[in-house]
Amino acid sequence: MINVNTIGQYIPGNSLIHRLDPRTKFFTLLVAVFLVFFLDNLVHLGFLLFGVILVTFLAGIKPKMFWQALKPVVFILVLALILQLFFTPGEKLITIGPFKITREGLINSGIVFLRLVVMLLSAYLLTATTSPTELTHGLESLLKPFGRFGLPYGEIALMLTIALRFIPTLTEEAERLIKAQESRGADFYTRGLSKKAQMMLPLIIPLFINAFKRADELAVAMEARGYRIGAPRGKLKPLKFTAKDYLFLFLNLLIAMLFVILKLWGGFPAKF
Amino acid sequence: MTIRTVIYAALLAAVTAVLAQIAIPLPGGVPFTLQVFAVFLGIFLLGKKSFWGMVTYLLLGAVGLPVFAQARGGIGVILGPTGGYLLGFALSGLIAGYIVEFTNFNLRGKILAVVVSLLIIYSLGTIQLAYVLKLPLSKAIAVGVTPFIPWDILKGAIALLLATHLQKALSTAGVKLNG
Amino acid sequence: MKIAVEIENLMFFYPDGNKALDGVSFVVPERSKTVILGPNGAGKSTLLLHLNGLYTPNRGKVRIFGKLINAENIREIRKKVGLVFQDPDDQLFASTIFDDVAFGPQNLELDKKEILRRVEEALKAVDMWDLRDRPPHHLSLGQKKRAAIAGVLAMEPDIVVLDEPMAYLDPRGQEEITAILNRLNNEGKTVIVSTHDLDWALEWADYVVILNAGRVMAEGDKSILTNRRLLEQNGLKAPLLVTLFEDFEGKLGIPTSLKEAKQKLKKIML
Repeated sequence: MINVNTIGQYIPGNSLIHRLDPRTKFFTLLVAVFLVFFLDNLVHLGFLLFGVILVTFLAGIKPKMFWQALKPVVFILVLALILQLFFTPGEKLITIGPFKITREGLINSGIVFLRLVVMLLSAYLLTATTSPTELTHGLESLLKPFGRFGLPYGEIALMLTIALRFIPTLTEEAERLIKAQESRGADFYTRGLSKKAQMMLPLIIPLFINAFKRADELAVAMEARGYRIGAPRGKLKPLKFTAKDYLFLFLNLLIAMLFVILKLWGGFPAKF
Repeated sequence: MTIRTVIYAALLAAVTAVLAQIAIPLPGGVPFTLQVFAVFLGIFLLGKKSFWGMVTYLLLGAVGLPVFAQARGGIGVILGPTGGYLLGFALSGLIAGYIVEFTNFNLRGKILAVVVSLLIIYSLGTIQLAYVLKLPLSKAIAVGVTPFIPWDILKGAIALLLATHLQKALSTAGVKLNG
Repeated sequence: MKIAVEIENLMFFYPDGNKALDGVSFVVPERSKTVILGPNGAGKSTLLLHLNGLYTPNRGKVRIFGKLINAENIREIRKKVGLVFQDPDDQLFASTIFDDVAFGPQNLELDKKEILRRVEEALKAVDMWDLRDRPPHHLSLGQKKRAAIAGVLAMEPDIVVLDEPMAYLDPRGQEEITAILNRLNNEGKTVIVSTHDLDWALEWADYVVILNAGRVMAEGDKSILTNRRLLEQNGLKAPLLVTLFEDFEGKLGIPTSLKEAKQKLKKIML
C-alpha cells in the first residue's frame, strides 16, 4: 500500500550525463532554474525546453519517462492553466459561452506551462541520472564551503544517510500497524470522520515510538565506533571533476549568458 | 549539535516521509495525509531540533526521493507551486520549535506553536503558489488556503491530543527526549 | 594469567534511581572465551556498556589491559574494545553494508587505502564480502548480525564484546556466529559474550562469570557450569549434559562438552 521506493527516480545507466560529477549536475539544474524564472517570453522558454529535451536524449532517457517527471503536478498544472486561460483580464480573443479567453491569458498559461515543464524535467534529469548515494556525496561537497560559517555539512549528510536507511524499515512497520488495525475491524476507507481519527492514534504513536527507540541505541552504537560530532573523518570516495565536467560547466555558463543577452536584446518577441 | 540531534532529525524525516504516504480519503476528494502530524509532533517532541528534521526531509525530496505526499519528489516540487508549504514546515520547525522550548513544553506553548506553524506554512505556501502560477493573491488563497485550512486546524487539534499520549508512551519505552 | 578486563567494585544506578550494578568485581583473562551469564534483568547489558566507556560507573573502576578508563583515553579504549549490540538494526545505519563497516575506520581518520583494507578484511572475516553492496534491510537477521560484527572488527579491537549474539538466530545462524567467534579467538582476541544459553556456554566458553541482581555470584573456569545448584540459585537452568550426567557423577564425572560426554559413554560401552 505504501511505497516509498528509496531508489527514487534513479535509472541506472552509463550515459555521458550519468558519468558527470553530481556537482556539475546540481550546477546545471541551478542554471536551468535561474533561466526558468529569468525568462519571461514564450519563445525563449521554448528554446530552453528544447535544450533540456536535448540533454534528456543525451542521458539515454526515453521520452515516455517525461510522463513520470510531470505526473506529480498534472492536477495543479491543469488547474493553473484553467485559471490563467479563463480568468485573466485582457484583450478578448475567443469566447466559449460565458467564458472568455484573453490574449494575456493565453500567453500567461503558456509561460506557466513551459516554466513548470522545464523545471520538472530538469529536476527529473538530475535524479534520474544520479544515485541517492552520489547525490548525498555531491550535496555534502557543495555544502562544505559553508562549513566555514558554521553549517554542519557532515552532520547533514549523515542525517540524509540515516533517514534513507530507515525509511524502508519504518514503512514496513507502518504497514504492519495498518494491517493489525484492519484485522481488528478498522477500515481506513470508512466514512465516519471520528472513526478515522480514532484509527490514527494506534498508528502514529507506535510509529513514533518505534522510530525514536532506535535513535537512542543507534546513538550509543555510533559512539562505540568512535563517532564524534564535527570531528574530521577519513575520505573514502572523494568526488573529482574530469574534462567532461569542465566542458559541461563551461557550456552552462555560455548558454546562460546567451539567454541573458537574448532577453536583454529583446529578440524573438512572442507576437500573435 | 549532538549525535542525538543528528539521529532524531534523521528519524523525524523518515517518519514524515512515511506518514506523508498515508492518506485518508475524505468526502469531496481532498486527500488528508498524515504528513503534517509529523511536523506538529516533531515540534512538540524535539522543539527547535525539529528544524533539522524538516530540512533533512526537504533535502531527501530535493534529491528525488518520493517522500512528499502522493509519492512525489524532486526539486521541482520544492520550487513548484506547492513548495511553499514544504518550506513552511522547516521554518515553523524552527520558530514554533523555539516557542515550545521557550514555554517549557507546556500545553499553552504547544497550542501557540500549532497556530504559529499554520500561519507560517500557509503564508509561505500561498505566496509561492501565487508567484509560480502567476495568480493574484486572492485566487491563490481561494485555491490554496480555503479548502485545506479547516482540515489542518483539525489535525493540529488531534496532534495536541496525541502529544500527551505520545509523551507518556515514550517515557514508558524508556526514551528520553527534550520534553 | 594476563588480564584483559578488570572490573573493580562497579556500582551503577539507573536514571530513575534503581541500582543496576551493586559492587561488581571480576576479571577477564586475555585471549579467553569468556561468558557472562545471568537471568534477564541481572544487569548484563548494562555491565557491557561499561566495557568501552559508554557508561561511566557511579562508583568503582574499569581497567582495560591495566589502564583505567577515563575521559582522556576513551578514544584509545574504543579502538581496543569493540562492542556489538544485540539488535543489529540498532547498529546498522548506512545505505550499504560496505558504507556501514567503513564508518568506524573513517572516524579514526585513517587514509583511504587503510580504510578499504580494513573493510575488506572485516567483511571477509564474517563472510559478508559478497553482500557488501546490499542495503541492511535487504538482509536476513543472521546476515545483519554478521555485518554488525564486521563493523566492529574494522576498528581492529583486541577485545570483542557481544551482547546476546545468539538471540533469535536459527541453528545455522548460531553455528556461523560461533565459528566467527572461534576464529577471532584463534587470532588472539579476547572474546566476551553475554548469554543465557547455558548449553552453548558449556561448549564454547573457557571462563565464566555469573551475574545476578547486579552482583557477581561466581567466577572461574567452566567447571562452574557443572554445579547445578549454583546455577539454579541464580535463575539459570543447568546445561542438558550436566543434568544428564549428574546421577553418574561418581562413576563418570560430569563432561564439559559434547565430545567429552561421548567419550565417557564410549568407555562404558566397551
